[in-house]
Amino acid sequence: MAVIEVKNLHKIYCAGEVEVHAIRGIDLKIEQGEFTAIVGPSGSGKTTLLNLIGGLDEPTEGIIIIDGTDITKLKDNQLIDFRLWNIGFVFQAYNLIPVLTAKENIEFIMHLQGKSKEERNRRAMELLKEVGLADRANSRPSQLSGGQQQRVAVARALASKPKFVLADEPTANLDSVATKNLLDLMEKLNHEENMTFIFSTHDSRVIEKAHRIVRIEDGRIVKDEKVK
Amino acid sequence: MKELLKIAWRNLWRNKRRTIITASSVFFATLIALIMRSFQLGFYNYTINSVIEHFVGHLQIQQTDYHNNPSIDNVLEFSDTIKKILQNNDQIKFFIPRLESGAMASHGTNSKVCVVIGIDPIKENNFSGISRHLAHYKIDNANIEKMNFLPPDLQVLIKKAKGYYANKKKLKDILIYMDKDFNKYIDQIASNSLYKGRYIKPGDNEILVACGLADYLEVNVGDSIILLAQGYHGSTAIGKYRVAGILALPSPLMNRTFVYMPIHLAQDFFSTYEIRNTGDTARFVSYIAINTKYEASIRPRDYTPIERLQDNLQKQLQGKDIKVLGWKQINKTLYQQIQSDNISGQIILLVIYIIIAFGVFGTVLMMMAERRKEFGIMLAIGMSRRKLKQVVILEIIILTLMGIIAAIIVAYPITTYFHYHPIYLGNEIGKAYEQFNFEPYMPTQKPDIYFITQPVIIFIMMMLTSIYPIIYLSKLKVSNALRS
Repeated sequence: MAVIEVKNLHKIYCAGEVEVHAIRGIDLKIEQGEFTAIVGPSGSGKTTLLNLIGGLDEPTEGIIIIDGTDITKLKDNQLIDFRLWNIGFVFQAYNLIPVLTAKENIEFIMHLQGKSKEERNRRAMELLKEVGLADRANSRPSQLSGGQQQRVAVARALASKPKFVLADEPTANLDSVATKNLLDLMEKLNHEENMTFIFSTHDSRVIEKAHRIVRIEDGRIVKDEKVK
Repeated sequence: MKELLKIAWRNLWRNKRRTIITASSVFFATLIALIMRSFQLGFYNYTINSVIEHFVGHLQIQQTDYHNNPSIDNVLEFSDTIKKILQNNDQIKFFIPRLESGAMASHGTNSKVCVVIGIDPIKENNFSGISRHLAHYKIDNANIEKMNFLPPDLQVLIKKAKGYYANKKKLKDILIYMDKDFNKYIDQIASNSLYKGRYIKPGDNEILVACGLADYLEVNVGDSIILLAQGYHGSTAIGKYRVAGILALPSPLMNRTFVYMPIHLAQDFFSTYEIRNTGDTARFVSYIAINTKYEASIRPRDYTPIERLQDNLQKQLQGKDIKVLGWKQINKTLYQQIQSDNISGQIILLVIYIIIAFGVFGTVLMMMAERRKEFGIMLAIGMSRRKLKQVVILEIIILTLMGIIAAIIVAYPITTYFHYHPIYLGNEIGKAYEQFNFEPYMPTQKPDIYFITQPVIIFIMMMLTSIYPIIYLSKLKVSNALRS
């Protein structure tokens, strides 16, 4: 069964009096454990598609079924709760909570889920170890490099044990070493924990690692191929 | 909540300078509000204390027509029945009879209109503490000449302080206000300006004269003055009385006009007595002043225990051509003055609150605009809008409480100090006070309920600023916030 199923998805933005058709009838299915790259030029609709799948934006038309739930029918509060329990997010600019340490950032999601202090502490340390930052647990984001922050962001995305992780251009602000480390980490998690990753990118180093590449142009899927 | 509190606290210190500036504005607003209110309430209390509780009384029992026509003919008998009713009422702390009427006082070639007040010396002193106003110091040309220990400039300056003083503190206050150098000589000045006089006793034939009147008539302790007045039912009242003491009263009007004498002496002077067929003598008084065990409240529209007691007494004294009046009716002008001053003071405070609330609102606006993307991220990762609002509200609460608590800590000793050491107003404001018959002192009210009400009002005003973030966060679109 597909983790994500998108049917006839449309998104029209109104920029003043001008209508922008960002997504024009996309149909897409993503299975559990896929490592999928959504690629395409700037303005092709990659981020919009990820936002719609992540329930961060409402489609103009179409349905998005995640693990059997049509998220387009959920109310705002239900959608927030749905995201908390089912979707992990990694953003281009890391977007950690600046006032919390690396460990607290990871624990924060679990705190929202109502997990116990012991469980939060155990899992946060496990994840920090996994992303290779156990020694930076008490560092604030401002004390970490971009690559380190993005690894913490990945650990945060995984903390809630989501069904899949959405990463919007996760390597856009990273140098080549940090990019390689991050991709190796995501690939390892995909391989070892069967975690589904969907990321938007136009970075060739990221595309090379993807198992499936979905190419979008002008809001439409123009190519969908499994490469590994 | 602990986690949200942690985030809110840390968020505040992301921009230390802004947090300190905003908390400072709350601090200064609260401090100003507390100190202003303290002086305002202190003044009302002082006024009520000196005028109402120490002179007029909470209630007065009068003959029905006396309030509108306070003539010597509109007197009432201080009968045993009235005494018994008042004695048996456990809500009454003191009741004192007074006989009051106008007279002409003269000494030598000087004469002046005065108010003669017949009092029960012991009861009156318990009620109003009048003996503490007895002048113990007098600065006049004779003793200024003896003060050659003073430097020439102070010797010139001290002439401006000529007059009577009930105690050393008042003498010191006025001299130090004129020149701080007087402080060094205060003991010597006091010992060179000692003035003798005594308080009157029941059965005395002597009187007390207020200092302004004594100055005008040029009388001293031991001199005699002649009083001439219209007595009861058209009789002529005339008498010669020796001055036992000079009073330095709190009010300049009182100082210009008052003469106190034992009530029996006054009743004899004004002939306000009647010999009945039974052979008994009925003695009359102008009114009976009553102090209750309650405090006089300045709040409008209150049916206070004092007013309840007034109604009860009126019922008990029905049919006796007697009226029981409350202090608000007797001193209508004073009550209205306090009311209007209270309202204008509260309007000023409201303006301060609004200005500060807008200052905090500005900070809240900046806080929200700066963190738009961060709010979007928090909503995206699954933080509910309710919790996000709680964080922002907690930030405003902490910011406000920091300012309020600091202000309370600073205002507490200040207001307490000035309660026990009132500011002496020797300047134009002091003169204005005196024109309205108030002593030129500005005491504060000791910290009490207003230390809760003022901060609570400010807290509520600040909390109103959190309406904006609540609306803002309810409407925030995650995708738009993430793009910002």
